[in-house]
Amino acid sequence: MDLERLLDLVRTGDELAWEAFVRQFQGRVYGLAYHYAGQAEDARDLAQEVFIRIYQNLSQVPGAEGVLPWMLRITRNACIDHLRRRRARPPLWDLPVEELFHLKAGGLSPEEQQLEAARKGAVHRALRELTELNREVILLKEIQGLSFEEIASMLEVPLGTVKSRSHRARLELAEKLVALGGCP
Amino acid sequence: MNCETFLRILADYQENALAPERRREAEAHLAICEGCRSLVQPDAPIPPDLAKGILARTTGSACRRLKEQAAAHVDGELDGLQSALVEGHLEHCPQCAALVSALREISTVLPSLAMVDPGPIFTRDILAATSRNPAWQPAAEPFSWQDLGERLVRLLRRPRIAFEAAYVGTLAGFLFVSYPGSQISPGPGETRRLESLRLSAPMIRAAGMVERTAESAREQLREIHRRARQGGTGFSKACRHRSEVLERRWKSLSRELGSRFQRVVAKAQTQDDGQDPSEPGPDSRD
Repeated sequence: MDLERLLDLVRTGDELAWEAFVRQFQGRVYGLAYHYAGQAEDARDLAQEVFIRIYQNLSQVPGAEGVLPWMLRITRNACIDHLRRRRARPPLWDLPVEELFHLKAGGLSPEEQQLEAARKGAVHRALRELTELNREVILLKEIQGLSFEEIASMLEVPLGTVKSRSHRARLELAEKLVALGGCP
Repeated sequence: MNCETFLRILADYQENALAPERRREAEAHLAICEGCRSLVQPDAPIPPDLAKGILARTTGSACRRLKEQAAAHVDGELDGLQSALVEGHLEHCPQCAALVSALREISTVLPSLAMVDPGPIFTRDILAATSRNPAWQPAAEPFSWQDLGERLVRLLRRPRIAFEAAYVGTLAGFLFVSYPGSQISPGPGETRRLESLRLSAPMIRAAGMVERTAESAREQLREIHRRARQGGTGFSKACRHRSEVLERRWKSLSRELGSRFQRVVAKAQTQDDGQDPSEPGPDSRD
């Protein structure tokens, strides 16, 4: 599907185009929200809030190249606001990560699904152990695949800092993974 | 031949560059000297911690340098020589090998975490929330117990449920206390007078609340006064002044509330009696 054409239709308020847009990007938005919030339910609410915010500002939707970074920036801002509010009231419990990742592991045998979920769960737990900045760099660079320039702009830190942080963050994540015994 | 002499000719001995007589002398020395013999045996085992000991006394461990290059190695950004050096270190360092293995693992797993399926009803909820036509509803999906169960579990997991429960509990408590037959319902003073006027129950309760609030405020003011008299310091003077101000304001407020309340009572009684509201009521003659 031509994304540029889809976005043109979305800006005009076409319901079918909006539905296709939601279905195309909901996984990315929800994924980022989940990694920030750490709770499936909070992530669901945040992702909905992001899409509603986008819907209320359809005229501001950028072109095909910039739409994903734009959405991820909105998602990040919503998550940061959410985390600020939540600091006063910590979450009651977390959904086990394996339970969440089972949802996406389609097309695999039950054993393979279990193994895949365990691998993802181990990496996710190691991710939670990182410092805040390192975790954000991993989330945005390694998971969401944004460029160094986009991340530097989003986090409002120098480009060189993001680059050097990226290597250090991966190394720290690997060390945490080894320490947690999650590395095969 | 002694050991010192043998060490000087060791290289020539190994390369077969010695004169025959000199070579015989060297072999005679080797036959009686185990230390020099160990130097020329081609398959002499290398002590396992030899390199480690040498590194410890020279550059130190190479693990720090490997950490600097590990990510680039996994990404394939190193040239052939650097990559071979890293691989050489990994063969002998299980800790670094585990680290590089973990880096490879996260390089594989992390991109797959970008997309997380939010579940089957997520899109439907968003479309419902962003629909411009309130009457329009997305196509109803067939009922399933699993869907219903998911919704209930999600509802129970919401921390907000605690606030909602507290709200419902407060409301239920208020209704219980305010029930006309309750022992906690208002009684004395203004309330009795209103009962004689046969006004409706909500007004009676409102009157009781005003009276209880007034009594509570008076008690607090008396307490402030008492403490202020005991203190006698600047602070207590300030407290006394403050309490006097509060008392004046309270009196003014209670007068205002009283007059308003009298008007409401007069109006209600007039309506109950079916009289013209413009005519003075019975309490206005008090």
